[in-house]
Amino acid sequence: MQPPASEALSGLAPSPDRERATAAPAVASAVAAEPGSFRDRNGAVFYRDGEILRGISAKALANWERLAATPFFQEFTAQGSIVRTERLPDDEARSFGDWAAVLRHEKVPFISYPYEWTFGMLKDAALLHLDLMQAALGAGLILKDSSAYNIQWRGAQPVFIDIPSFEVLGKGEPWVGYRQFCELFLYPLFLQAYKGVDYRPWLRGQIDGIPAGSLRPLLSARDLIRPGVLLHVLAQDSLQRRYAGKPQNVRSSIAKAGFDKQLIVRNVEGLRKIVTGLQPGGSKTVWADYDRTHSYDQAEFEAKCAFVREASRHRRWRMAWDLGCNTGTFSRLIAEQADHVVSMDGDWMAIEHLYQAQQNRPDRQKILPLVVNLSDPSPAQGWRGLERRSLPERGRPELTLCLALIHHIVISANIPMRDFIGWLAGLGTSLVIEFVSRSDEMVQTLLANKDDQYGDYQQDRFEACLAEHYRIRADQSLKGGKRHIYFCTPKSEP
Amino acid sequence: MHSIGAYAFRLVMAGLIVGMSTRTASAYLDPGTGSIILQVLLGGVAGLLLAGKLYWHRLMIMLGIRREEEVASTSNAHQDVQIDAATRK
Repeated sequence: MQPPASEALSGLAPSPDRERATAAPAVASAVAAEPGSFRDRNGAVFYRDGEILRGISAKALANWERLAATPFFQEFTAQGSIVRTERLPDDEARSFGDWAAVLRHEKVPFISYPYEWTFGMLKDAALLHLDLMQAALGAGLILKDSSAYNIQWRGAQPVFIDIPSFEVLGKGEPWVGYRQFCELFLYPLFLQAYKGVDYRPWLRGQIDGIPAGSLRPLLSARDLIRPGVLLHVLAQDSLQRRYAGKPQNVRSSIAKAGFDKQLIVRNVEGLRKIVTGLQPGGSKTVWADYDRTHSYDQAEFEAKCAFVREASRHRRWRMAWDLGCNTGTFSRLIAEQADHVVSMDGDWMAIEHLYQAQQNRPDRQKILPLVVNLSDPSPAQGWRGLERRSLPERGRPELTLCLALIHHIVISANIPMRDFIGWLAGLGTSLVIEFVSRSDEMVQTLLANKDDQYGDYQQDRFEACLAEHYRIRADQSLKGGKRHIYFCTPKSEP
Repeated sequence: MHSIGAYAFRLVMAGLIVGMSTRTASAYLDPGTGSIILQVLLGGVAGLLLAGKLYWHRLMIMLGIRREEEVASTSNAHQDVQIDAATRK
């Protein structure tokens, strides 16, 4: 049910899964349970030596065998839309306890959550989910849940990771995950498309998504005629209220009355049509046109690109982060030397721009765009605070890019410069960082209406902070001395 | 199918469907009773026919043409409800 992490776990507090795993008689000692994998008792994710494994029950094994034989599963896997999965040989699987079988999954480069995705990403994830529903229904299967967390990214390509979610569809059974689809995909998209409201804080605030009853009060009379609102929101909320707290379950009733798979197919088709038509509402954000209006002239911009490219050639990087990536110009430069790049910016429109632009590029599978406000990054949360991980817990980079960002961190977000450099150093990575001086018009704009309490915001103080943690390998003045760029490696490295 | 009239019809049907039977859910995820009923209405023409069929029993009861026991005997509605209600105590 929950995504496997990109990194093997270490030092995590005990969790229900871990306790169960360690209580089992024959579990290998090097196995660590994924603390977010507990909701569905038919399986659990755990890690061994960087491998992502999943123990499954006899019931889940029967479903897996049926799924693995379907042409659609093989096709979606071949095109990268379903995570590559294989079954461990039985003699190897037995060492993991009393599971009926153990599956091994391909590793996703970096785990992300729907509250870090842009509208376009959530929409494409929803469409992939509906595609899989349609294909599964055609093969007599169904996705038993509809968690948006079951979709992860290989760069800008969505990948479905929750294999045991595919189940044989019983005769007359409804789509159990329909409500969840609404709460974790449809309503967040509606919120942005119809009301111009950012859904990310809502999804970050509630792990199970947005209930119909929370969305309904926001809807105006005009919204009622928008596609999907009347039935999927209003009628659903009314029916949920009507039947709330009553000991009634209609599944056998509708099965006897002749509920059929075709009804689910129609619903899925209808949802596909609605989701396809959704466009993000709200006005353009501040930096959306930044890559066309940045404050560099062409020659200076090329000098900056050349510095970043040269620094990135220092070595090959497994993973790089581009913090404050804007529309990803420099992410693409470092992607030439990195297996994977996670590109983060607080401006969802800039990230949307990057995401859409990546769709037709050869490095589509290398760059993962995420909406992250570094001064308030995604926390660890969920059950025991372990179900969803904080940003650095999901896998550290080897190279961090931090261009035209420090003035936003220190002046806009009021984070002390030394503190920020200390945080960067804690990542333990090489660093390309740009200092934007007080003479730069961007800094002057930020200071225009603020008390200047940033006495430490000086280039010599900045270099002193860097020198505490890093060895400066190269540096260069940019923009006529208004900016300065540095390439540093951790002092701990030779 | 997507005209306001069709929406309104399905909405009215949604409001009318009551008194369903019960069974312990076999999924770890609660699909929500209201959300299951709605799926009948979202199932296109076949769904509307099914909604009509389900509602027909209620109409018969309301008009006094059929007694509630007859409906129960065809769907085990009351028996199921009682069992479920008892196990929840």
